[in-house]
Amino acid sequence: MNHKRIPRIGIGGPVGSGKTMLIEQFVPLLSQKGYKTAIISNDVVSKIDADRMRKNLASERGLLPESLVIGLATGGCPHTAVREDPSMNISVVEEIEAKHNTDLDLIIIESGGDNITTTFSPALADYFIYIIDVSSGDKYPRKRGLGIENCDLLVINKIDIAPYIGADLKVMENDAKVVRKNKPYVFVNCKTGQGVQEVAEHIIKDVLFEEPPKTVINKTA
Amino acid sequence: MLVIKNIIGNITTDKQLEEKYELMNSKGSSEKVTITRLETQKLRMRKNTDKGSDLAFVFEHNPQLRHGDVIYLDENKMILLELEPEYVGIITLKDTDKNDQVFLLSIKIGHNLGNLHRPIQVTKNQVMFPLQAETELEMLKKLFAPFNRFIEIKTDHMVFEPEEEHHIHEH
Repeated sequence: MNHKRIPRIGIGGPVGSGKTMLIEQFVPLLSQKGYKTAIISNDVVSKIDADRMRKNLASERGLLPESLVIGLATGGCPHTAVREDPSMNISVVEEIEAKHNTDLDLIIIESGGDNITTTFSPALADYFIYIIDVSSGDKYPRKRGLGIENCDLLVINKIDIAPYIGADLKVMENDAKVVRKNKPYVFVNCKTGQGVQEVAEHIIKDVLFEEPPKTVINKTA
Repeated sequence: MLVIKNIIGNITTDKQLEEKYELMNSKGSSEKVTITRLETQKLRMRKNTDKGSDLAFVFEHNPQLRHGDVIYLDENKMILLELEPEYVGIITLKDTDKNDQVFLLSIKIGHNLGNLHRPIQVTKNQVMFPLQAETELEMLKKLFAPFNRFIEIKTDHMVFEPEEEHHIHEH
């Protein structure tokens, strides 16, 4: 392989925590800044998340080509496809890299919904976002687990429902601080987009290193 | 932003570099960046040193970063990479020479077998464990390739009764 690696982020989290919706929220924010993205969406047996993102982000809004939203049905345990044996994902990523080396800024890899021990192989993803949601209770961050403790960015979603289920966001914040030491966390509501700007800013700073989009660099070169 | 693309050397294995570090450290010209063990194979990451220098790591291949790596060096500055300490469990075998090859080999084989979540049966110089399919032999040969000089791997069809004092997690 003699192509240049395109920065890649992995997104993991339990089923229903908001992985797909988070992507649907931050891709437009990156797109506004001119960054071009591709999405690979892993699922155990279906490809419904990929179909949904293709419709919402590509077909209806034209933020990326339909061909750059790819669904992968991994079978088995979803975490094995992004950690122990990421070969299926890596081959898709390398195919994208070979075709889009000059215009694509970021490849987003969504894991199938899984438990709190999910992590991404560093061979597959450069940056790992783990998303949990308030509905599972405010004790969630203190339960730790590889995902919560070691991800590069912890996203806590559905903050709007906290009052209805008696979840205290202060408890979650204090625990996140203790468990993650100095690593960042963000509270969001993916339904309204609240807090997602901060997620996009982390991606631009820590993954894209605040460089201008490739299409801009190549135009001025 | 300082872009780090390669490792200059490691102060624990390079005497000259260690001396250079001691000298620069005494002059206050050294900086440290701390990462976790899980970040040692990352190809791309952004970090700050203890003195606030902004670093962008960009590697083409798995860099396998190590505690004591020197990642930047010029006349005025040396940046040293450190791993964050973590809790580790330590089991010490009583009355055994810790340098004994057999002891070390057994530990490594046991670790690999444990990762497969198999029950085991042990004789004087053999360890047996159930295979789920004949095709697993190939996987075993790959897994134990580093120990080829010391071991022989074969399969058999036999009654298997696991050791009873182990707690295993089979699936």
